[in-house]
Amino acid sequence: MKNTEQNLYHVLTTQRASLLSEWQRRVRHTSVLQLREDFDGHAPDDVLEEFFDLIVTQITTKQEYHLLRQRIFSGEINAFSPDAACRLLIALKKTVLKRLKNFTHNAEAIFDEILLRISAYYHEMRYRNLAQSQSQNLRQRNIEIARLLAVEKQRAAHLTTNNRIAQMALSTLDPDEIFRRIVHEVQQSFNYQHVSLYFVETHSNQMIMKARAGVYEKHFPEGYRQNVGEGIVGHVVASGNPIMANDVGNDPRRIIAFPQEKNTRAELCVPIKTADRVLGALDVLSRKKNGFNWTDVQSLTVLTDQLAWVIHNAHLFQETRELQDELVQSERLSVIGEMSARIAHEIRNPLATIGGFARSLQRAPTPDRIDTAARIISCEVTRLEELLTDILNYTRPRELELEPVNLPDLITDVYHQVGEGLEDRGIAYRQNAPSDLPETPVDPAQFKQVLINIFKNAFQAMPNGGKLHVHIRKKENQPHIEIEIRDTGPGIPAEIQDEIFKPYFTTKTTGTGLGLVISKQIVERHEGTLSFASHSDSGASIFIHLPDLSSRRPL
Amino acid sequence: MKNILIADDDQNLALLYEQELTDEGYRVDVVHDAQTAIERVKENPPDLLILDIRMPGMDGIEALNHILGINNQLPVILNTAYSNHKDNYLTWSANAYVVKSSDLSKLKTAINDVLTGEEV
Ligand SMILES: Nc1ncnc2c1ncn2[C@@H]1O[C@H](COP(=O)(O)OP(=O)(O)O)[C@@H](O)[C@H]1O
Ligand SMILES: [Mg+2]
Repeated sequence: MKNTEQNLYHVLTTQRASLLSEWQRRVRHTSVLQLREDFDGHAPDDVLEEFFDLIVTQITTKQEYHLLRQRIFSGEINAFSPDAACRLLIALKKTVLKRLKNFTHNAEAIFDEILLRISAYYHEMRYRNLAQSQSQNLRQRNIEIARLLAVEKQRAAHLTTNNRIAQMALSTLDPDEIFRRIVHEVQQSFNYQHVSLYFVETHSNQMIMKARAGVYEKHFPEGYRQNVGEGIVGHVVASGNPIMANDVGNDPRRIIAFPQEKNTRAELCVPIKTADRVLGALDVLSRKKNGFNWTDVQSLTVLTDQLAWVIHNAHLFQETRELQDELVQSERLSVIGEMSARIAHEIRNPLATIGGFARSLQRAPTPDRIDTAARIISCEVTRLEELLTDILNYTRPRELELEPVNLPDLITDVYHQVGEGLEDRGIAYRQNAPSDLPETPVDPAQFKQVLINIFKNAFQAMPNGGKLHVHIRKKENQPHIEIEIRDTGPGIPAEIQDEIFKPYFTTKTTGTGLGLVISKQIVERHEGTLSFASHSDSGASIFIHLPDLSSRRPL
Repeated sequence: MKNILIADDDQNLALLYEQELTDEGYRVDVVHDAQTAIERVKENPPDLLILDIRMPGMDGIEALNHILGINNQLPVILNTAYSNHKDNYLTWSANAYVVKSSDLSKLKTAINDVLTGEEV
């Protein structure tokens, strides 16, 4: 092999690892083998074949292609005759273009998949949020009920049982569970032989037993039914008045459902009713003849009044649940709609551009076109990569890895990183920090992401230059550090101030609308806050408040 | 030579269309927002307008209605990244609806059909 070829070989092999991983990162799912195959078919002659093998695995970006092209033209690699060099270039270009086309094709499929997953994930999150806010509404209603119950409670202040029941009604939302616990509580507290709770089922004119406790638990399973108007309970429900049958063995209204019931000598049944309707009844039994007196009637009446509220609440609960389902369903649809429109736009535009230019080059590869196309293609690929990073950051937040850092240095670094290549933009940068600023524990990688997003927005807000000032403040006696990033762009118009922290909200053609959302998430995971101010005359300020964790949390 | 006006906020994509359609033998003019497109149609009506839907500020659907108000003879092709806008009846007044793709042949066919009077 000739010297220069060896040089090239050397360059390519030493870069092999990094290029390869870069390529794999880019097209994880496009197989490199596939590309190699594509290329082999075009290998023009033996001299170049050896290189092609290498090149196929290694030239993966337009930049690399350009680099090699430059080398060949500048004579750095002069082992080739002009003819061979041209053929090499043509072959290279074809590979790159083929790859781009493959890439576009694969990327379209991959992005479709991603789109699906994201919308599934996203509406799941929305569903959770919604469910949460709905249960907050329920809680609100329960507070209302609690207030009403408290009134009842006062009336029944002498009965501790009632207080406990009122507590129960508040502490759980599932009505069946409340009923079970109430019945148990009553049976235990008063040592009744048996207690059961019946509800009226209007359409069948029957009563259904919802809960029971005591000696007959086995004989009366939940769901036991009886007609309205029959038996003691049936009479109570029909009339809406309590019945105290202190010698129930001789009461003609009694129905005996099974022989052991003979052990019961007295029965007291109190209706559960609202102003206009009987909802059910609470029935208690005693072994003793004359086992009940008017105190029992009174306390049970207070109790059933409360129960009426619980039942009312249960209806609300049911209704709310149904309403919630409907809401979630429609929310879901609109979220998916919005998501797909947004993502379709963000992905299809760059893909159409990349693929379109690749095709056009294949048809007519004139030198001026190659340059424009290369520039645009790499710019669009960057756009896709940024979109992907944003989406992944947004949908899969990482754990924090805290580490004390010098904030001013970190911020300066990020500023230079973001501002690279924008020196001619005419941005005047200034940064102030108190000299005694302690090192602050943050997750450096994630915190950088926050700053990158904010700096980028600031740069984008000042396309014709301006001032960018970062103030780091730490006030005496205040446990947090404030970072203000202030630009002199147009500011944030009042109409969109409520929107800018919403995912996918953007006013930019190629924006993802995720920068601020992600930044806020990250700062909040640092137990800090992210806020903004818009100065009508002089741009926008973004504020990051970080708790001074150093004093609290040893690292 | 037929004049085509393209309204698309995506500058790179618009450049691609410009290049490709110029190759096809059209005279191409590009604007990047709906408002400018409307002004251009008023001043100097093209033979055909290709309109993107999702643009910052006024969107393509709203622009379409304005433009048809000014000149209801102007052929318009809606060219967008998102196929579901098709469900929006406001888009039905366009002569064609093409979903953006790296393969421009659908767009070219639509242009040809619209210009030669064969509705698609
Ligand atoms: N420094 C700023 N000045 C003016 N507007 C801003 C600034 N930062 C953010 N915005 C507004 O907030 C929107 C959302 O920002 P962001 O979440 O970073 O998404 P993107 O930058 O992709 O649009 C921007 O589109 C812009 O309208
Ligand atoms: Mg941003």
